Amino acid sequence: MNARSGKTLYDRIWEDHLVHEAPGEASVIYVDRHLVHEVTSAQAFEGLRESGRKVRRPGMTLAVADHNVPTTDRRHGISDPESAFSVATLENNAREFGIEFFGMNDIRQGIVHIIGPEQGWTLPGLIIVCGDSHTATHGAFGSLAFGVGTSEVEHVLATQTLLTTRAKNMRVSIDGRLPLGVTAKDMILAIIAKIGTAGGTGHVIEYAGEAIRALSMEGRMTVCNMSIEAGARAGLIAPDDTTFDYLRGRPRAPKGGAWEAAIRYWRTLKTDSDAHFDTEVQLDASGIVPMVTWGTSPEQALPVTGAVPDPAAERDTNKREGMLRALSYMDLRPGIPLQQIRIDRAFIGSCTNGRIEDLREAAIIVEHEL
Amino acid sequence: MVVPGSGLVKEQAEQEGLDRVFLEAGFEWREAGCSMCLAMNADRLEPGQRCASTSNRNFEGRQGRGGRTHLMSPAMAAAAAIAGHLADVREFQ
Repeated sequence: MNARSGKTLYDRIWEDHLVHEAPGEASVIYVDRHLVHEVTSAQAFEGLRESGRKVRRPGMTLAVADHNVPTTDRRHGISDPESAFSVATLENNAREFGIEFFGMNDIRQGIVHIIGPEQGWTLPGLIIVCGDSHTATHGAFGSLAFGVGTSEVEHVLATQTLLTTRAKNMRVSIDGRLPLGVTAKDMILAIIAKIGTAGGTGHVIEYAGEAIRALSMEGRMTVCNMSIEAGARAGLIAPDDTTFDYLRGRPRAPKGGAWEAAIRYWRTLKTDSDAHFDTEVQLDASGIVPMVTWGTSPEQALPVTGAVPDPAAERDTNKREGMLRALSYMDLRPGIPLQQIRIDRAFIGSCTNGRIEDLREAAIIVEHEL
Repeated sequence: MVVPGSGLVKEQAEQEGLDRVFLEAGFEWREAGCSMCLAMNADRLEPGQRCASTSNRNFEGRQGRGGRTHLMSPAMAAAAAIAGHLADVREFQ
């Protein structure tokens, strides 16, 4: 890297959180916020118990059950014994270690990557981790957020720090305006189709450009959420007035003078004009159309106007074999127009698309047809 | 099925009457959670079922053993649900 070049947003957040670095070693970084769910935390808490440790900063840790909870009537608890056990274990661990827990019947309960932003717990400039790959969602606020493994969950609980290595910088710039009917989801599927699921490997992606700036926070979260499917460690979008408008008045966002001070700091969180990116990718938003995946990898995505591709036309042997396997699993034949593929179910939700704006977008289409 | 991402999203959607729109069209309206994104709860595809899904991963078995996932936007999933097949949302506007 050119020592005289400016800093990227990622460099800035990384350096602000660096506790220790030495050549040839993983760096120690400070973690501001830690989100915990039932699937990746039980062994971590057990590890703390075995070694007689406490949670270093219980107030900076928030627990919620999302993966194993039923989405039907919850008044009688969870009928599946394994799921019931994992959710009860999280609740017991949260109580024992003094961590706030949103229970299944608390209105604030939800998918961990949706409740953080909703509560104003996710804020610009922070480092946020969670034992879940889609932690990248929080990067929409200009926070560095990424998933960690269960042993790292234990490390963060015990020390509020993490051992990790610095990532490379990648910028995906999307200029122009998205056409009508084309959303943030189409944008990120188009990015992944272009760069592939290994395209972002070893990088943190900063999304920039006119089309990104024009997105709501919900749309930005959808884009950052799937950074992981583009192979990246995290996705970032510099905070701006859209971010601040979303956060203002949220239960855990700063208030009064602290809010004003926070905004002044948050406005400094951006990439310098002379910053160096290891990889740059450009897309024109006006050329993006509604996308669907046809295969078993997120990069196997095409405009909905297309047809199931023919592996015979693929020169890369590995890709061709992947396509053949995907077509077999998906029970599809090359050449069929995508719009002829019949479906049995539809699922609208998830940390990618389970926010209010997503439901509004779906409801508009449904209402039009009623 | 429609699964709000949080209890507060669900409450907001109900205040706006979105739940009625979905229910009238034959969708199920659920409580908040990861749901059918990842087959770690009761919501999952049966073998061979094909799903228009707004989730993030489409590898083999992600939504249930033998289930087939097509990833897309919420508007596109709604259009597919109404049409019974993958559909271009721009023709629904």
